[in-house]
Amino acid sequence: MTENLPISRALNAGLRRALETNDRVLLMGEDIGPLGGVFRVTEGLQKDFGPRRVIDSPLAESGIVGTAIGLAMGGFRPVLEIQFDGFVFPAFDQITSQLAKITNRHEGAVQMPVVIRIPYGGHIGAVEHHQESPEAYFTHTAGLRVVSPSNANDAYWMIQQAIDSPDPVVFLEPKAKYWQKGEVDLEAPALPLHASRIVRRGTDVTLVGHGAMVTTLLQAAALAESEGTSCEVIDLRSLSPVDYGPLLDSVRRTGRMVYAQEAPGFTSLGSEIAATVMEKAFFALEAPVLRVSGFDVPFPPAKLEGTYLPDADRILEAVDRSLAY
Amino acid sequence: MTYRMGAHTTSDDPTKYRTSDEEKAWAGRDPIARMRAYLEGRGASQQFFDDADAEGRALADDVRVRTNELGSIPRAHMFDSVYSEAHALIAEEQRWLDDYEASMEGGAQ
Repeated sequence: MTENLPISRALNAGLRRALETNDRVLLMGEDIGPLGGVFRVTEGLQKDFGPRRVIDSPLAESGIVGTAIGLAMGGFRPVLEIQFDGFVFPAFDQITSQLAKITNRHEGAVQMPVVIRIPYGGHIGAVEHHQESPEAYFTHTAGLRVVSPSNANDAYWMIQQAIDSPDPVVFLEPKAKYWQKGEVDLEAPALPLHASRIVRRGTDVTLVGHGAMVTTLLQAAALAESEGTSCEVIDLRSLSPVDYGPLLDSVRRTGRMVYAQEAPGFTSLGSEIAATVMEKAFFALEAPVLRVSGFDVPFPPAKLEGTYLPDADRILEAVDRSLAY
Repeated sequence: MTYRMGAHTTSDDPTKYRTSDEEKAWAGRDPIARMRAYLEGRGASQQFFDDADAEGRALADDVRVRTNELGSIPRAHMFDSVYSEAHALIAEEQRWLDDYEASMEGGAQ
């Protein structure tokens, strides 16, 4: 059985199913109750599961995560909503210094099954704090798992898989794609949480990215095809750990890779992946792995977001550079 | 303590999470309305309030007009004030973007 849903509704359905099947699951966040969150991802859930399981928190991100740590110690599985990417930093200490380390601190005796949902990324013409891609801070922190769905089916399944994880999961939702529809298979997940996936087959260049960037990569691949270049597109899905198998298999066939990300390029996830692919597949490469990134500046005002964010043209410029080696 | 009388954004719907009674109670504490009542008690004329209202409307109109007249932002703006002094990475990225934009404006070569 499948249903055609936008990503926001697929997440809502996944959260609903988790609340139905496990009474230890709780949702917490700012305005997630009667309002349903600013993106309406939790719409209707407080009405159906009550204010003791779908909890409107104070405007205090550090408190949301700190409370969740205590709840997880007490046997609950809290799913937290951070309203926007740039609002996660007041909780940074709780996430990186506490949540990520508790299992290790207790030599495995205490688990932290906490999910932190963060609507991330640009393309919505908003002000600073509302358009950022903070993944590298979290992939740099041992103890955290970091994932990001790019489509409705993954949104529905990955949120449930993240809730099932015994470890803390940072769950980055592509906010610009919340209304992008797709077929959701309601019966079985397509892949495990930490698998990457080839979403378009090609032979000349491998394009890699996650979340909202996957749509841009597919646009670039379609344009490249019209110019005679065949691009393979890989949806990373899991940012930590990275499932390198499909990336390395692909680059051994194509010899070329372009990694695209909204985040600034300096010490980014793309830097890590480029270095690892070059270490593990050096003799297969016809060109260095190229990165297409946001610039190393604070996210600019809305009128400049089109200049800041990598688009299909910027990706194709890198494809051309790769082919020219 | 402050209270937001209107919606937070165009997608916000305050009726979902607060009552009109609550909004009315806060409206009664509106410092602008209270100042007006205070000044009326001190004998300020209707002309005074009409002039103040007109001045406020003119200011708001002017802000709207000038906001709509704002042109595009030069892309250099993005790089200009990240640091106080020259920074090698920023300079390199700005040069790359200038060359890239020039190549796009030049069309396919």
